[in-house]
Amino acid sequence: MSRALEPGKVSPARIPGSGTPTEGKKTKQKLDNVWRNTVTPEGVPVRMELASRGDRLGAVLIDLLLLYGAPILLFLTLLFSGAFFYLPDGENFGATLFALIRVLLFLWYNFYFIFFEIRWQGRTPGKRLLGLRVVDRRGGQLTSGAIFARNLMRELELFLPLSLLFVPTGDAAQALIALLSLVWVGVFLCIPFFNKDRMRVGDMIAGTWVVRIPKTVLMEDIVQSNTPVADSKRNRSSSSHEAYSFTDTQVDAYGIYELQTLEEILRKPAVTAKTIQEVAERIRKKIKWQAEPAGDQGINRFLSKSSRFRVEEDRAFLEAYYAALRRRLENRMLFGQRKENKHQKD
Amino acid sequence: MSEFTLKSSRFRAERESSWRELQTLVERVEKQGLTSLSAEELTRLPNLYRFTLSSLSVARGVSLDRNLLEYLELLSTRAYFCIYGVRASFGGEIIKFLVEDFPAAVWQARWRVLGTTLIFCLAAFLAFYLTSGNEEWYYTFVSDGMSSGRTPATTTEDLRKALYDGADAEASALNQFASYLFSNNVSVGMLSFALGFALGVPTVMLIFYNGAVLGAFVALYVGRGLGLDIAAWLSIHGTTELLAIILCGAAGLGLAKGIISPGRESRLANLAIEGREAGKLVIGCVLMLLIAAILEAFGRQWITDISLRLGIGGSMFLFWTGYFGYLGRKACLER
Repeated sequence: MSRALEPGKVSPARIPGSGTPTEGKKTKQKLDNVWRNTVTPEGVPVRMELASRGDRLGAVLIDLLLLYGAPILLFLTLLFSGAFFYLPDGENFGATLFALIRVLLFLWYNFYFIFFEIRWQGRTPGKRLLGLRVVDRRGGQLTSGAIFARNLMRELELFLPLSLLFVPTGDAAQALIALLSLVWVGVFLCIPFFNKDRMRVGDMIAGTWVVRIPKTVLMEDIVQSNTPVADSKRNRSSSSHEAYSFTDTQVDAYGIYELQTLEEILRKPAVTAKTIQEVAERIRKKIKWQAEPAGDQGINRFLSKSSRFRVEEDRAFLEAYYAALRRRLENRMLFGQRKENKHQKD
Repeated sequence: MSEFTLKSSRFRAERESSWRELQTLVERVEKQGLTSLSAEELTRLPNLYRFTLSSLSVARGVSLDRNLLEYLELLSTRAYFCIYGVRASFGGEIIKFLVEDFPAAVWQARWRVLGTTLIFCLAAFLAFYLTSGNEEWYYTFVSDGMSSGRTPATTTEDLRKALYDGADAEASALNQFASYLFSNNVSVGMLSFALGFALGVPTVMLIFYNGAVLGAFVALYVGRGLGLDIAAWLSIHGTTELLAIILCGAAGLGLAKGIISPGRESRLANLAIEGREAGKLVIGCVLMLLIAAILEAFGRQWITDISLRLGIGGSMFLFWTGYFGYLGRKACLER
């Protein structure tokens, strides 16, 4: 089997926080590891995140809603728009139309998933809404054969149980048979919960899995955005920015994991002032940061009563420390030393 | 300020515009399809993709900006699907499927098809033998709903009439009949494929049962001296329909084989290989069943001449053998 199939082979370096050498943490990570590596034909490994079971259930529910709702909606609009009055008369015509509708409905119900997955490269309307996608497990092209196979299996996994729910249960024997078949079919329904790749039976026989490919936004570079800009607030933070200078021991206090956690805090729009303050306080303590000499910071001291300014200052400190830490760690990375986290000794 | 500019920030500033360009192209392809790109944009897409991919490789070595790494990774993935996941068109895919994939899949599964046919014939013979000896057996094999009044209790004259009835039927009634037959048969076919996952046991049972029904049915007619009539009545659509059902069963057995004896590959990988081939088989069978339903509803009701019925059935059989035997073998060898 290709390496794309081995979830354990994901380079630990790229998963934040995976560098901890303790055994317990590693096994735990193996259990809920949702990252899968695929190697593109250019030879670059690309990571993909397996879709959660909840997301997939949501996608299928949306699809089912569309699958059964669309024909009903179409029928109702036709009914109320009065299009039926314009149909030519005649017994013959009506029956032909009925037969045609029957075949069309059959095709719609049975080929809805197949059609969309071929058309939209592994996405149905439901999957598209939730950012999911069917992908070949080996990283190759998603063939039509695979799409056929995984969706034909739905007959067994989805539509058979659905139809069993509406089976007439007149006497006890019928009810028992219905119950037994439900249990039997239930086994298939539960398969996604018992394999680490979250594959349903259809995925198994088609050699596919479903991944989540969310839309991402490239945010401003934190370091870059410190260059002076017209905004007065920015100006202040960048002027105080130059006042910070860290010694080598101070920037060696943390590793990549902490750097990226700090990045997250700085980037999140909804981080409270309290968090910023706490984090800044923690870092100051850790690196034994001395408050700046009072002389040139007179105006700051004057303003320090205002809590808004305090936050501003804390943020500036964090940004400065982030820049210094990233510079240090990136430089070391260029020389082949990755310091994964603060526990790693040099 | 320049002392604060990191190498990774410079790296990003130099390349960012190209990434953003790729992002807009990818978003458009995802929304409106590849055809929405102009010729120039189409040639730019792979270049931008490779550029971004190489950026990703470099970024992993020089940058610790997680947002940047994640962005590049997802952008590369999305662009990768735009470029490698694309197929010509739905229609083109269908034609290729009809000319190459389907016959090749059947040819590849020929031994399994033969095996399924054997099971089917065995069941038919068994039921035929038993029912010929004692007509009571008929009730064991054929349920009430299926026989629709054609039981050993029926007179020979009525049985004969059932074979030739409907010559004056209207097209409208036959339309409905055809669409009913089609959806019914396809459901059976799909199910016998899907059930292959349960190690093939239900598939074999389903095939066996179908064969038994046929055998008992034929025995009933042969017992009344209507052997040739029933053969003609069955052959007009049966050569297509039964073949399709047998192919679906063979597809189900393919799945079972993938699980039971995986060969050199791992069980899961082998299942994936077998499953794809089997999936193609079943989709092709849906088409065959559509043809069979049309033949059954129209051809069988309107054409009542024995030799003509046999002629159509025989030529359909010849057609399928040629289609799978010649085209399938050719496509298989070309691979």
